[in-house]
Amino acid sequence: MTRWLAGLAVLAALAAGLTQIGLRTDAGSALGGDGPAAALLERPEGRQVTLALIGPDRDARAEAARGIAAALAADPRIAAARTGITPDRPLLDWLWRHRFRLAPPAPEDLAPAALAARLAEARAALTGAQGAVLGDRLLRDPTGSFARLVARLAAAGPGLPSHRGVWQSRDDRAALVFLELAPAPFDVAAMQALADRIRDMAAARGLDARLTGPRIVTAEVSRHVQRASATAVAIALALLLGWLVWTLRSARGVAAVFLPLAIGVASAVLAVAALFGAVHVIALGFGGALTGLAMDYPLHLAQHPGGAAARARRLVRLGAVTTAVAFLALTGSEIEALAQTGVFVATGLTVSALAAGLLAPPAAPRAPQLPLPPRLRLPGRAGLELALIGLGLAVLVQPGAGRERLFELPPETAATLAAFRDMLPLPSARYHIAVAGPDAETVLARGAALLPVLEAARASGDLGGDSALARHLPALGAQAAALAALPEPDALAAAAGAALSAAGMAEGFAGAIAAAYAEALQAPPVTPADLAALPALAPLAAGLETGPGGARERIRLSGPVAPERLRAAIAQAGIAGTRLVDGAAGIAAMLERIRGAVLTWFAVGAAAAFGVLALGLGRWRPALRLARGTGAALGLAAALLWLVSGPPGIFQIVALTLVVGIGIDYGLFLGLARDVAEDSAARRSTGLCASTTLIAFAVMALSPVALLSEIGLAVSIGVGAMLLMHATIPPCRDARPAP
Amino acid sequence: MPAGVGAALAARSGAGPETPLPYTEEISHPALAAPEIARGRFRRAPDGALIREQTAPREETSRIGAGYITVMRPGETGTELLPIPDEMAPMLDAMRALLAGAPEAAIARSSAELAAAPEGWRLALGFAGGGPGLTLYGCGDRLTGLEIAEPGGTRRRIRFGAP
Repeated sequence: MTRWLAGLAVLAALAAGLTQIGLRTDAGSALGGDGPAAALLERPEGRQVTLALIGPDRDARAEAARGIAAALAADPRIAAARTGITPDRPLLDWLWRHRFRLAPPAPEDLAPAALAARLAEARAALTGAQGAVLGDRLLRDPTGSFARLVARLAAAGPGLPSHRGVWQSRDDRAALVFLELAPAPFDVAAMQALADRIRDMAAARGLDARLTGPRIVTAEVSRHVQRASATAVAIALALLLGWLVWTLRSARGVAAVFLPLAIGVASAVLAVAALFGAVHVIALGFGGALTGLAMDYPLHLAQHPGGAAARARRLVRLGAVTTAVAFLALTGSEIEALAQTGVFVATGLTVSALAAGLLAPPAAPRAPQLPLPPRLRLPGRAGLELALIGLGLAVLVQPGAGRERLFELPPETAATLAAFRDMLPLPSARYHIAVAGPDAETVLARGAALLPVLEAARASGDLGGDSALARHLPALGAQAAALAALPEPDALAAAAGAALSAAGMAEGFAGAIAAAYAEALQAPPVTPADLAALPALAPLAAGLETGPGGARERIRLSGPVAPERLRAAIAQAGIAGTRLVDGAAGIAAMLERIRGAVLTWFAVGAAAAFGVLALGLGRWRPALRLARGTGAALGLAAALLWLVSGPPGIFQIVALTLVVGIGIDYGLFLGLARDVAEDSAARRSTGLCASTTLIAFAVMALSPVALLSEIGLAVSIGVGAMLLMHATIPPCRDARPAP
Repeated sequence: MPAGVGAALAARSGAGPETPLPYTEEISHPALAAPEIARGRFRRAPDGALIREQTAPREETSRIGAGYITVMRPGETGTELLPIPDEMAPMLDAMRALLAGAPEAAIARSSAELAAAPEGWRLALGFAGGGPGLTLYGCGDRLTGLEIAEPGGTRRRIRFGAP
């Protein structure tokens, strides 16, 4: 009783410490800080959020959009909130001043006939509402530059209708607000909190809010996984509790199973927090699930009462330390969440094993003997085991096997995305064009050379739209060349006079036209920084980045994209530093790299674990025998997994490492039984342990989330393989566990 | 404000959905050899916005709200958005208030100058910010029209009543 009270006191003390622990949900720690997926979430386009406010009344939703956008613009988490293109007076003045820099007239635009046609259009515009805003300037610039610039700016938006100044969806269901999040590191919880606030704001106005964007989708995927995990844990715990109550038939026995596990998990959380500052949600969820292996320890001990207890405790400690060493190797991986998982599992298992030994769970003599395969003396067994190890290695190390489903869309997210596709042309999440160069000037020039390719692709239906900055901003050299090609003001005045006369207008106005023309010729050069300084134009330059290593533009693509034809057209154009980028390929390459690192470090961990095992057993032969059987079972599990669900991914590989830990425990008890009594106890305890593990992970295997399902499947298959290999192996009578 | 003018404004303003106010607009500009003529009617939307329904020389409906003018043309899907420049806003606000039947509000934020005109009286409203001025024309207790002088030289003379 004293030990139990001490155990509960330790748990209470650890639980008190847990209240000080911070939880992290950032993607950089989960995917690698320099990975393309994490990098996308930190870029301006990764911080874009599109908000659709759905309601039947256009007026109501337009007003709501304005109100919500204004409220969000004051939120420090939001960098910008736009409901429509709003060319205010300062912007119109700026465009007027720089019109020849940005949209210089072609020679044919300066012919008297063209000027006269423009003047006639401007005169007609005077009688409409547009005339009150732009009319005078349209008359003073018959070259059409200003009109083209304003039209181009309107077209630079998402190409959507607007109602009362607010963009409306193509299907006329929603008002649209385009948000840019403030440049803060992506955090799932923070993103969810902001999304919930926006939904509440819409609901308060009687509207349904739908949100999409890279960070929104990532956060929703995360929330979906968390919910599914919580459901799986709740179901598994209920089933486990029922199963243990039925098998152990002792409340103290059931408590003895959970108390060491609780102490181990709490210690693991504190250890990770002490080493890393905060616990990542992946380490908590994944490490917590893997540490469930610690439930086996009291079950083993409960089946080895009396004189067998001391030996069972030593085997449990040896198994835990061996598995812990293998998991500690994960700290060498470059992914912090995985490194945390390694520390979590190593600490959790070691502490749980010690706690289980100290608490001395009560014997459970009435626990049922579950059926296990019989011992088999197979000739050539060693060869078979080596063949299975080779098969497993072939499955695990095959190149290109990293098939991850980290971003499986929840059904509601998929439905929202489908709805958004009806509302507006979404940029491709997979493809973009990268244009690189030593400086922004070169990138702009290369972008200009790319425009004919993009135009041809749009005309042929290979591309819906693009965000090339060169459409709006010529390179400095091109600006200077265009201005140099324009005629002198006197020459324009003469042509304008003739045009006014031809249009039946006041010929004397030619002087005013020439004065405005001469003033525009003096405009200073326009750079990307100038666009970025204007709120309405800044989104046009958002894809361009300059740094010490040069400049790079990421041209977003929208609508249908025919990647092969577009890639071929870009290659044929032969523009230096320009290529079509497949984002999915980049992520696949990153995952493959992480997978390789995980495999490498687990190989290191397996070698270290074998050393620990040999040291613990005091002889290398039984250690080798145990390692060979465990390796064979692992190979069998990997091959079966490959057959059932395809090549194992990163998380399945980590799950298989847990299976190795399980196998070592099974092998220690089943393979080192020295007599019939020990063999019987080992088979009873191993059967009970396997049943609890299978209950927990079979529930996970049935999860609707592919990631959880695959982990559950990996452990379930692995446990089956370990039972098969270790239960059928004849006991090694010459082994003696070291203290 | 003289009582007669105030009565005129109150009596002739207040265009509503049931009482559209026909107009003829004469637009002059230094570039034009002769003024352009437009015709249509004003009416007031329930939410206070001023609706300008132009019938000639081309059909166009403008909704002058707070901050924006939205323009709809027959045969065109969607609407065109035109921002109201800051300097035009006081004048348009005054015009909206005037045609909403609230002349006091129209005049409150301007410098008003009443003078005799050949056909009656005129009330010139000036606004801060260098924007267009608004001049109201009347005869006795009747508001006959208004004139907007834009900075670029455009002048819009609007006469109320059927042509």
